[in-house]
Amino acid sequence: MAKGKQRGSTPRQRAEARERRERREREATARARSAREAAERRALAVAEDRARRDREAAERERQVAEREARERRQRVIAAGSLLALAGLLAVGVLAGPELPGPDAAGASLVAVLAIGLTAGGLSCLAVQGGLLTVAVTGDRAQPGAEPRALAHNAAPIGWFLAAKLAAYTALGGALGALGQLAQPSVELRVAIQIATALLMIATALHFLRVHPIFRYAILTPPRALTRRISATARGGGAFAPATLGALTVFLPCGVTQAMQLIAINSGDPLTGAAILATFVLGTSPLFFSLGYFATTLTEATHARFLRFAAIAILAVALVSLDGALRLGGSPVTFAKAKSALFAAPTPVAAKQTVDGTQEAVITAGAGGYSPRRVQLRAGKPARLIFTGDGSAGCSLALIFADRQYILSADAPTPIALPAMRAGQRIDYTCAMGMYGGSIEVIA
Amino acid sequence: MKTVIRIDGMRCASCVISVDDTLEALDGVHSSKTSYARSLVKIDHDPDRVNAQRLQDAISRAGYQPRAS
Repeated sequence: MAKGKQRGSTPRQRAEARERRERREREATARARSAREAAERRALAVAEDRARRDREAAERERQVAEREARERRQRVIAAGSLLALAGLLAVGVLAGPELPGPDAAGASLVAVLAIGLTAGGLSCLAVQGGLLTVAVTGDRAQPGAEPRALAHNAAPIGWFLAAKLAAYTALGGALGALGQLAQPSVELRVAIQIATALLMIATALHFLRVHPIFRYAILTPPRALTRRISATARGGGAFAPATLGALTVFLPCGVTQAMQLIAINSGDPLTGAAILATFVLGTSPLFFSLGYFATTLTEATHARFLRFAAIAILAVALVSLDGALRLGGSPVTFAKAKSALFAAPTPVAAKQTVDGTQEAVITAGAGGYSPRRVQLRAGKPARLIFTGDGSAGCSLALIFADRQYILSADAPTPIALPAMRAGQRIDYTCAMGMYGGSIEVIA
Repeated sequence: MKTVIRIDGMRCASCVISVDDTLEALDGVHSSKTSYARSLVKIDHDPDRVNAQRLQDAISRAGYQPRAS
């Protein structure tokens, strides 16, 4: 029956059936396309998610690598500073009975450079490092400010250091000129040197967090000046860091003050300028390193830096204090203790001249006085001839029997002594008590 | 009104500049005087416009640890 009905369907019915079949086919095709597109979207989402995770992992790896590189750089800086300090101390121990110190720096610009590279750099950084950070960060120090690449720190540090060098060179020249006009008395030298050494010791104890009272050792500029500094820092460009660098002359650390005293002792504007310029150049590598990484240093690194700086400052302070004691004629000094523990240098007898006067030639050089012990015969006048060895330094600033002599580096300087009794002795030192010698009278 | 706030975390004399700048940038603060040696800041301010809590918040944002005294 059914077959008969189909066979007997009208053309209209057949057209409707065909239309239904075609509609079903279109719907099936649309579903298949929709399913395919959904699958493609899912695959794309999965791929994007995987790519995002890969990017995040790469970013994490980059941050870890960057942190490790930063820590490596910090370790290199710390190790370099430690080696430089160890080298300085080794040179001091090997060079002779006197340790190098602020006075030795005056005797040799190389020694000034060495002190700047080590203790001077550390000490100045501890006091002036904040200004450098302000110069580098500028208005980015404010909360919410955008950070920038480390490489961009180089320009402001360069301006900061160049201006600092210019300011200190000018200051050294002025101090040298001041020393040319008037040299401070021995008592004033001793007082200033002891005060400077005590300031350095207090600074070191502050860095070691021994007691809050030592915070007073850190000089702070007056508020009027700090307002100017912050206004300058906000200015940006080269002017701001350059001004901040020049303003460091108002924040001298203990070692810098010792160098300033040496510049006065030089009694010559050019030498004074050279001393402070060389010292600042010596401090520059440490300043540059700290400034460059100023925005990345951690609190722990800073604490380690302060401890390291404290030890270096203490070493310089003790050398300076010893020099002051020696200059002041103290019976207890490092040099005397060393002479008591180890063999003293062999004395050299003065030569007899035809006119009946004794004569001894003493060379004032970068390493001190030679010979360090001179023996005179009792009852005869004597003439000491001090000569320079061509090196400019503060062994040329001689304190002999409470009187100061500025020796010539090229020409001899005679000092006449009356006849003395056996057993008499005259100790002399350079202007800061770091180098010295003795005249001993024997029967 | 004058308010005194003790501050921890100042590492050098230049931190004084940072603290004073931060506080004086606040609306209602007339002047700020920080002492590095004494680890404190004395602030002259209008309490109706800026209270002690906001002062402490500003110090915290600058990277230091305020302690009310």
